[in-house]
Amino acid sequence: MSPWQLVFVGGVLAWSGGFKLFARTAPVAAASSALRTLVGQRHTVWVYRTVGAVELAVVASLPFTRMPAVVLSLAFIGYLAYGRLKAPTSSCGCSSAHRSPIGWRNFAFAGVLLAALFVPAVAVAGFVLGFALSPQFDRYWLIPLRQWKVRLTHPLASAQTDETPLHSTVQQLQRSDAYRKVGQLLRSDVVDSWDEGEWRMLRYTMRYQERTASAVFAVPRHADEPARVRLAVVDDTDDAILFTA
Amino acid sequence: MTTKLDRRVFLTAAVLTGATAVGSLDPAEAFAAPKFDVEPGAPDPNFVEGRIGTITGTMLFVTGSDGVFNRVRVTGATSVWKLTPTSFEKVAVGDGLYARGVRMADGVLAAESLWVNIVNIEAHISSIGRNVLHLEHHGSKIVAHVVPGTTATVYNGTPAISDMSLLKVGGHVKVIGAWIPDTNEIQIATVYAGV
Repeated sequence: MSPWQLVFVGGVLAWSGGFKLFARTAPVAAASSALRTLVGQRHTVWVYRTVGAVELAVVASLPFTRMPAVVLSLAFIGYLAYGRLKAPTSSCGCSSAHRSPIGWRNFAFAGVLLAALFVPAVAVAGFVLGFALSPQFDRYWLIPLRQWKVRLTHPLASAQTDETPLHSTVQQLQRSDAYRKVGQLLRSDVVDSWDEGEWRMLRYTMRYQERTASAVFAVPRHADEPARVRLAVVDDTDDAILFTA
Repeated sequence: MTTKLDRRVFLTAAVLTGATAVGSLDPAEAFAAPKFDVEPGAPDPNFVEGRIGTITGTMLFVTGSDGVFNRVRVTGATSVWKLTPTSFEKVAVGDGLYARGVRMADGVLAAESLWVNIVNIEAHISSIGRNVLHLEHHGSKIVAHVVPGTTATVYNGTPAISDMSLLKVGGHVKVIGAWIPDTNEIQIATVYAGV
């Protein structure tokens, strides 16, 4: 094996084995990995640590033979396939506690690892490929790249309108005295809403003295002035105005 | 439709023209402790959750996620939420719902509030596209569509606005939205984010 292969494969396995064996977050990674389904919750953590020890042993054997590493890579692909089929929501848990479901990137990474054992050029490319294919490194390049794209293209610009969102009116209503007076009696969420000049009207259903009534609030539409909120309670059967505030 | 508009005109006048009320609010009733008639540990009889199997007139036949079957009656006084406050005609077979109301003697829930397809998701924004947020929620991907004119954003607990430009890829958000049945897609009602 060339030094490139030794450094790449050895580095990946040492990282991953060291993480499994010594990292503080290893039990967290183990719990979210497909191992939990494979060996059961009780045995997850010690099996996970053992796998880490095996990986470190394989690193030690690398200068002499590649066979243990080949077997380990094949077992890794088998583990990924098992996880993908039997525990699709679980993470790989391979070398970090980062949660992301097993997908094509994990398989590609395992493929690169296996190929690097036989082809020195793959090991050289592996330093870049391994970085790109590991979800735990996304925050160093993929997320900033996407943030940069959003800053350039403003994909959510058309969401901005001059209209006050209904939710904002409801928030203002809930801070008003009129609403606090009758809040206990309201039985429904917003039944209907419509705009009337500077006011936005909100209708709720209310139970008052064994009668079903509409509580209609007028809330300032373009200003945040909860003190100006007005209320009329109207009986639903005979349209009598029960009270106003 | 005309009756609904007439009703709006009448109710608007009742609030804004300062019509004379026949009574006044009785504080004893207004501040009475709400009646809480649920046995500890027992299911709340005045609440129903599930998917709509059939709609007959104003009656919804709902199968709960625990397999329990329920009938829900909707009236003109029922609030119906489906992305926004809307009308009963917008409710469709296959929709999921939460309903709160009063259980009648015959077992029917007379609904006071109906929330159709409502979801409450805590997630990370994994990327942002043209009027769409791609969310990652416990390892699963959710496509959240922005509905211009409806979608609102609350930053740091301040009043909701329609400007979404402060949302960041990689950021943590809470989204209230309407699920599009049998997909991993939602329409966004409100996004809560910190900046």
